Amino acid sequence: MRSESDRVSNLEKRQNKAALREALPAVVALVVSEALVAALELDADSNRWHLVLSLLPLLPAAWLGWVQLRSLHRSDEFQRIAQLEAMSVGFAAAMFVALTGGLLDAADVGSSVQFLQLTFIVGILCWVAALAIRSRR
Amino acid sequence: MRNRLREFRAVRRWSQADLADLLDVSRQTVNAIETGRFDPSLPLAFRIAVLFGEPIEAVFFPDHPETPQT
Repeated sequence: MRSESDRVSNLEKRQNKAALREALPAVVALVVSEALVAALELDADSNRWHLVLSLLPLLPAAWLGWVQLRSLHRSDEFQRIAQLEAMSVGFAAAMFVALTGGLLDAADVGSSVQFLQLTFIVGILCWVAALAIRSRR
Repeated sequence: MRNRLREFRAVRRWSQADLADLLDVSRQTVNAIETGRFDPSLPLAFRIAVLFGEPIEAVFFPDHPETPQT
């Protein structure tokens, strides 16, 4: 049971509702587009639409970026600073992994595709972790 | 910067969430201000002072009061 000290404010309730309403369709669209690209098993010889279809997940990804921007605009001043600090930590981590991947790829260790995926995952994880630490109660 | 937010809030028997609702901010923001992890902007500091019916210098004060005035 949630105690009074755990109760969220009305602002947070509004933020959570809006985030769910805006982010859920974007996440679903991203998953569907990724699944579609994977199901079509596109390769270089597929057809001329290969490039367009393989970049399809970028649309919902951009949508998610817009959702994040809207979320930032709804934030109060402390939340906004915490978010921006956490984003900078995630960005720095992603850059570090990208640089490491580039150096390893140049030395013929590992695959560049895996490094790219790792860059994305590490960036997001560091962003979320930094936000959790910065906005702890 | 230090503040007497917790003290003023306790007198009125408000929870952090109550105060957050009155200021239209998140509870974590109230908590961060109370614990000194975050210094509010001047507009928010004034809103807090007005809400408690106190002058701003009665709510917020510097860590080192002996700091020379310019």
